[in-house]
Amino acid sequence: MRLSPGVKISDLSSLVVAAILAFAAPLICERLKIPIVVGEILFGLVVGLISFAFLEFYNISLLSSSVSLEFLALIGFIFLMFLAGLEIDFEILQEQGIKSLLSAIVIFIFTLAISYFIVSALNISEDPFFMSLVLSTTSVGVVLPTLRETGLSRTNAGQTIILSAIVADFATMILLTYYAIGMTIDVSGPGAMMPLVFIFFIVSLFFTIHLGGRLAIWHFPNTLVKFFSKDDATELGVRGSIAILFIFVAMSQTIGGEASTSIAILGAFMAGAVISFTFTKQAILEKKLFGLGFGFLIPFFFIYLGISFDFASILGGTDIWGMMLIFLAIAFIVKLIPSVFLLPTFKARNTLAIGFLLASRLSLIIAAAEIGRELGIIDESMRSALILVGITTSIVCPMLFRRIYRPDTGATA
Amino acid sequence: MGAGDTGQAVKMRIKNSVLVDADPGKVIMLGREHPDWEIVGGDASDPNVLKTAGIEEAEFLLISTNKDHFAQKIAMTARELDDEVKIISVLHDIKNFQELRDAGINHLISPISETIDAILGKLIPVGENITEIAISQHSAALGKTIMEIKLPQDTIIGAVLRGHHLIKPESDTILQKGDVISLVSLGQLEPDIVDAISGEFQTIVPIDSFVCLLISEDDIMILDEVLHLASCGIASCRIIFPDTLIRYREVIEKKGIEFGIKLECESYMGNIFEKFKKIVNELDPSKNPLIILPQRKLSLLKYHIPAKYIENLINDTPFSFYIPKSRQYKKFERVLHFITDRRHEGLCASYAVGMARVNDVPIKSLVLHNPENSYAEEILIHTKRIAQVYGIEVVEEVIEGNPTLEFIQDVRSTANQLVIINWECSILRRDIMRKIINEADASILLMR
Repeated sequence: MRLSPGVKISDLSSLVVAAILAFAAPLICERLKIPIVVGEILFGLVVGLISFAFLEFYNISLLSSSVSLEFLALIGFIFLMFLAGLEIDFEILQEQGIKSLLSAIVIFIFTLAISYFIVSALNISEDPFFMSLVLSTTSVGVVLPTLRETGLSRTNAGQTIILSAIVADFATMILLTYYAIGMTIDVSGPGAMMPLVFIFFIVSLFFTIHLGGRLAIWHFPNTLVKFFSKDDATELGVRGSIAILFIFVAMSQTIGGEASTSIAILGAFMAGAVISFTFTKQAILEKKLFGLGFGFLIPFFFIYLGISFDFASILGGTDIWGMMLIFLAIAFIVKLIPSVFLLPTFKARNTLAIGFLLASRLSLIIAAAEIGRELGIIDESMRSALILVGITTSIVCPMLFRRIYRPDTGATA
Repeated sequence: MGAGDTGQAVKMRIKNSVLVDADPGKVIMLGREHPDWEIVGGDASDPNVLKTAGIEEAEFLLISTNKDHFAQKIAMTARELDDEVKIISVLHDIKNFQELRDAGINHLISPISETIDAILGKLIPVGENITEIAISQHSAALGKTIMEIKLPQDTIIGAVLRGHHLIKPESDTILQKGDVISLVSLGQLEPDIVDAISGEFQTIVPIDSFVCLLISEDDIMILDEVLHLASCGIASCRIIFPDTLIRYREVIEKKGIEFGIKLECESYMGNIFEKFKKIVNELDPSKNPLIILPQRKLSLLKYHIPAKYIENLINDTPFSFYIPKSRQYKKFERVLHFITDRRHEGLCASYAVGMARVNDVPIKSLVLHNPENSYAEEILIHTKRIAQVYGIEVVEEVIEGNPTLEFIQDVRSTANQLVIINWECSILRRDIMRKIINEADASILLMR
């Protein structure tokens, strides 16, 4: 096979480095007892730092800027959001009922309000609303594994935490997109209704696919079984899911216009959610998609994040660490204060633990930072500080939760 | 062992059992009355008689002789032939308890003390209760010391039966699989606690009452199907019909006697819908009632009762429902049972086995495999265990992830079957359940 003229061997060298790091990360992270995602970013940072040092001090370029790695990282990012949507357990929403959903929404609104208040008061950003959105995110990706590991995922406390995290994820995603579209068009012109049209469109697409799927379940179960079967050599299910993913991403971009990253990730997120919502808990298909995502595409995204970290801004005199500490403080405050709403249900100690766990952020804060950079709201150094906040909270928050949380001792044996 | 009233009653319920009696006259008489019964004549303490009866293949041996020392002899012979068989015997004199235990009898039932317990239970509902719980491999108490088990207030472990020996429980006694513990408590124990300690699924709330609404003459035809269902549980059945059907009262009552079910017949005048609403409003949810709707297609029912009302009833009330397939009852071809990891799957399983037994058909079980929760698979094991006792075949399909598609395939593939669904299981979504109720060519038992 011949490579196309655009792809060179030097281009492939960064792919080789990323692939080796992706392979080594889980093995090393297991020993260091840190989340794999964090490990991937850290290893990316180390490689990026070495590469930066060689370039800075010896003027030797170790890693050429790689179009292929960037492309794979972008697809990885889209896939990450797709899997985040796929992980939404709509059964929890059904089980917990409208009351729990409303309390999760109230908690999120309160988080956003506090965040807006602090960001405005400290005058951190020119666009306080966007910044407060970024700081209101939570990571279902960190919350869920922590609850599973501690055996709490099926308890009342666990379900409340998961629901709050899902609501925060969904709401930030929608608001970010809405905001991003609003930013890129002239709101006083004919495109003023664009964000609403977009939301209407994506919701319609969601329900069209959902209804089609539900009808197919009843009328063509024999065909659909192949999509979710273990032994289907053609991997119809994976192909179908990828098709839904790219239909959502492409259609969203066609309508959403310039704010490409946020539109793409919302599209991907909705594609994952529609599959989860329509074909509840298809474990085999989920396993295959998670294998493809976490085994191939997603590590490239996280490693790329590390490699492309802006070391120059640290040398350039920007106080990234100071900024990071401020963001970190806000990140904890905005999650700990609203968790007082949980006090009637949980003991003070456990409420504090839940607040800490909900303060963990990773993929979404990084996604939000990317969107902010694209829109020109966030600069390179702020983006780097937000990535560091993501890394720190995703290591510290689960540890704090484990230490503080005490399960209720019931009367059962 | 013993073809007296007890033996015969058991034989009626467990088809693939063998009766043994030493009285040749009784054996001949029973043979004439029930040509399909397998009866062996002879002294059951004779190894050859036990072998002829098939002791080596048997799962259970029930001894219902009128003297304890006969039971002791039979049990000793049976133990020599088969160490595994579970022996249950009637105990006439409590003084013989230990001797019979030592003979290898696993479970002793004393009619006198059972009667006294039942009477006392009625007279003094709250008082000292003794609950016997066997420790299974899934028990929360397995491997724990007595002190480590957190029991509710006013509950203690009175005794531990290990093998054939009674152990006085000390704080450091470690509970093992197969131990039977006697919990002494003031007041009734919470079902959850019994569940957790036993690791079994014995605490299912049985359906206490059936309410069957008949609207037209054609509905009389569904009675057999309904009474078959009622005979699977310990239920009383209320049959409500319009006064235009009063001439069928005798037929209905006769059917009740035929099935051995207490039937309460009630005729009414006037508006069906008003009557139905009144009945539903008066139902006591704590008794876990089951409502039998007279028409399979809910769309047909709307001529009598608004479809919206029925839909809301199914959606919002805590009752179970039975929706017969057709008015012309034919025996089912199979029972299709969807097992998920929700509570009360045990009750669904009991009815699956019950209906398979009275229809003499196999069960097809579709089971959710959830790596985090093995409840569904444990229910399957439980179902198979009971089914085996009755000689019912269980065809199982354990599916990783959501078994909805396979279930729909099965629902649509067989015309004449009973489909059992747990309404609380969220994995089979409500829109699909409604489709099954409205469109599937099957009788539906919707449990809660």
